[in-house]
Amino acid sequence: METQQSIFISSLKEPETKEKAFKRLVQEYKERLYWHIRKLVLDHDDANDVVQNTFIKIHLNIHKFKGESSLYTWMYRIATNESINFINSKSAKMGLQNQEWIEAKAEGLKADSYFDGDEATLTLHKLIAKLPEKQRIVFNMKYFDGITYESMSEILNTSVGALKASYHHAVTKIKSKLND
Amino acid sequence: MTDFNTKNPFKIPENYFKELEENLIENIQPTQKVHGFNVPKYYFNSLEETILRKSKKSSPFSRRKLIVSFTTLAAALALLFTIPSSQNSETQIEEQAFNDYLESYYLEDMNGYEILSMLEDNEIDPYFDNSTKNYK
Repeated sequence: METQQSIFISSLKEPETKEKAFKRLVQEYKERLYWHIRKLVLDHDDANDVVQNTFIKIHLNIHKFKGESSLYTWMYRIATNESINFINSKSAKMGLQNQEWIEAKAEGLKADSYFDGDEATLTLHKLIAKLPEKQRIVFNMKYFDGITYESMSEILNTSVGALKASYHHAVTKIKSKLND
Repeated sequence: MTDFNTKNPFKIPENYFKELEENLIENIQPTQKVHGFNVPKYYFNSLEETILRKSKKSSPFSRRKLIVSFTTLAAALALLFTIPSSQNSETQIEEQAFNDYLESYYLEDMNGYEILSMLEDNEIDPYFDNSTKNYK
C-alpha cells in the first residue's frame, strides 16, 4: 500500500500533476528551508537567493528522488549543499576563506536591518561563525531547530556518533569563548 | 477556632515549589531558540510567487537549451580567436553581437550565483561529502 508521501512524490513526478504538487511543496517547506539556509548564510538577501535556487534544484531533480530517505531530509540536504556552494562561490570571488567570509557576515549583523537579536544573540552568532563548517552546520541544526541526530545523519550523510561529537566540540568551544 | 484559621492541614512534597517553577519555565520556553533574524513583511508570500515563476522558466528543456547555447558560444568564440588578425575589427563586432545576444536573451534575469550554479550542475551528495569530510 502506498504511503501518503509516496503518493505525493508520484504527483511531483507526473507531468500532469507536477506544478500543483510543487506549489504545495513550496507552501509547506518554504519557511523551514529559508530559516535553515538563513542561519547558514546569515544575510537575508543571500538566503533569498539560496532558497530560490534550492527550490529550482528540487523542481529540476525531483525525478531523481528515489525515496530512500524522506522528502524532507532530501530537501534539507539540497538546501545545505546550496548554502555551502553559495558560501564557496562568494568567498572565492572575494579572495577569502569560507570562514573569513562568514565571520565578516556575522560582524555585520549588528548593522543588518533584518537582525533584531540582542547583544547575547549577536555574540552567539559571532562565536558560531568561528566554528569549522561542519560544526557550524550541526550546531545550528541542533541548537536552533532541535533536529534529531537521526534526521541530521540522513541529511548530512554522517554517522550519529560523529554528529554528537561535532555538536559536543561546538558547544565546548562556544562555552569556552563565552567564559573568556 | 483560632487554630483552624492558622494551621494548614495540607502538606506538599519537599522542594515542590522550586521544582514547579523550574517545570513551568521549562514548559513555557519555545522549543526553538531565538536566533534574532527577521524578514521583510509579506516576504514569504512573494517568495512563493517568485519560486513558482522561476520554476516554470527553468524546466529541464530550457536548461539543456541554455547549456547548448553556452557550448555553442564557447565554440564560436574559439573560432573567432583563430581568425587572422586582419579581421580583428570584424571579430570584435561579432563578439560584441554575441555578448549582447547572450545578455539580452539569457542572462538578464540572472545573477552571478545563478549562472554559476547552472554551470555546476553536479550531483549534490558527492560534493557535500568532499566539502565536509575534514570537519568533525
